[in-house]
Amino acid sequence: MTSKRKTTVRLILAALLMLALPAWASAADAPDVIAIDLLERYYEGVEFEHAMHVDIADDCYVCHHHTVGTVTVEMGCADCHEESDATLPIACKKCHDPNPFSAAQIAKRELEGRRFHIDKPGLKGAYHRSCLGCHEEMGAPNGCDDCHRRNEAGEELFGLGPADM
Amino acid sequence: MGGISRRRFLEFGAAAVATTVATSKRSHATPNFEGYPEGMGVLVDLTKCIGCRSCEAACNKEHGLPKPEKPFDDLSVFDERGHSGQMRRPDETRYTVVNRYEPTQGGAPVYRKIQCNHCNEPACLTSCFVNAYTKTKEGAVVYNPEVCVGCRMCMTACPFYVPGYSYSSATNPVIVKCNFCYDKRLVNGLPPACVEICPQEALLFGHREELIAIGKARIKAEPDRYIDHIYGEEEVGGTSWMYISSEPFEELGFDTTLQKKPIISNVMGFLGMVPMVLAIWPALFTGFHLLAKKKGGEDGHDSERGEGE
Ligand code: SF4
Ligand code: SF4
Repeated sequence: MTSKRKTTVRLILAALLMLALPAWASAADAPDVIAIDLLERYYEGVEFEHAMHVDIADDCYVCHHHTVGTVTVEMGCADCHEESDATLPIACKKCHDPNPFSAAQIAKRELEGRRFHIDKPGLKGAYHRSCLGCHEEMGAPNGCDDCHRRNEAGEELFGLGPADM
Repeated sequence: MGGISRRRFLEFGAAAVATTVATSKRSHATPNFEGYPEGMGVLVDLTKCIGCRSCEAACNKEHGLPKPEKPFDDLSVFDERGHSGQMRRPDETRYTVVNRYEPTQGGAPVYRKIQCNHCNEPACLTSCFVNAYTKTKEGAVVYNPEVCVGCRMCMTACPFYVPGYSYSSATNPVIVKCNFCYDKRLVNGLPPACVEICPQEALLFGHREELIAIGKARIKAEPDRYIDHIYGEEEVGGTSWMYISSEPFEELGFDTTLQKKPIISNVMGFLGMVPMVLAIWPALFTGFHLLAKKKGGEDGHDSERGEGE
């Protein structure tokens, strides 16, 4: 495809998207606070202040690199997905699996010939690398307990809880 | 087999050694054995580790190990040093430890998780004359305490100083080390406990072949960030656990003098020639370490644990 045609296609796509995108694709409509309970086994849930981070981030793609109804900016994805339709799912967990090392996930990558999605972080990795990476860069709080409060099982795991020794 | 007594073992000791050596020799006759193709592994990306010690905590719980004096969120353990200045090592109370290194070039500290690397051709296995060790097709190197006689040959043979010695019972001394969570997790298609808990996914679990491809892709995508080497892809014949890093491996306590060939291939021919008496095994396996070093390792560079770890 010539680059001119590419541009035309993109323009049409963008125009279509403006009409087609559901209202929740705008940050203003996203919930102000998002409850994340991925680590509930050892930690209490995290109340992620989405609205506050919208104010700080220059653009949605800083975090939502793949999913804000624009063409992907993530290098690894763009190799194949540059021409893809803009993706509607916005939540991280729609792409990042909470159990990336399960037998099913490993078998799936195997089935795809280990050619695609082989190094896509799981949900926990995606959250932490994205959040912590930025927090470190910006000098924001970055200790484990700045975001996570351990529950009873967590206290025990870390050797602080009900003394069993 | 469980009931074999130490005395009975010693009676048949010499014969057992001879048989074992013959068997080992056969299984190592194939040059460049590549390990099991379906074997699993873990790729540790040291640029992603934040030193949170969650993996240590998860391992402790998974294996029902004694709770340490300091809780797992106490980061002062990174400053602990042994008698000769060495950093913490895995032992019978902890199958894995995370250590902190300050790069000589400055910059952020690097954290490194240590555990059994689950060698493709384990020196512990080949050194053990009662065949207590098994390299499973899933990639784990596991250990059977029932047949162990406590001779500690494996501790001397392991190029990574991994096996620990449990003194908890004088009558039944056993070697202990990371088993890749083989019995409870690996055989059930689950990742090891440390991998599962790691917040950063600094530990990637998958087929060893796939992990090597991922490691290479990461290095290629960010050549300025990574050292162009996957530690464990080839060292001592390859290991199931491998590392990639932004800092030179020798600065992080890795032994970079290890040969590419499995340790045993140096000595098998030699072993076949010498009379197999129990008495010479300790001396032999002390020698294995020296044999394992590349020539460069003997020119006074002491990258041994006394300094790095
Ligand atoms: S690292 Fe040591 S204990 Fe682990 S498999 Fe290799 S030789 Fe054996
Ligand atoms: S859990 Fe992961 S990030 Fe934390 S110390 Fe272990 S390897 Fe590093």
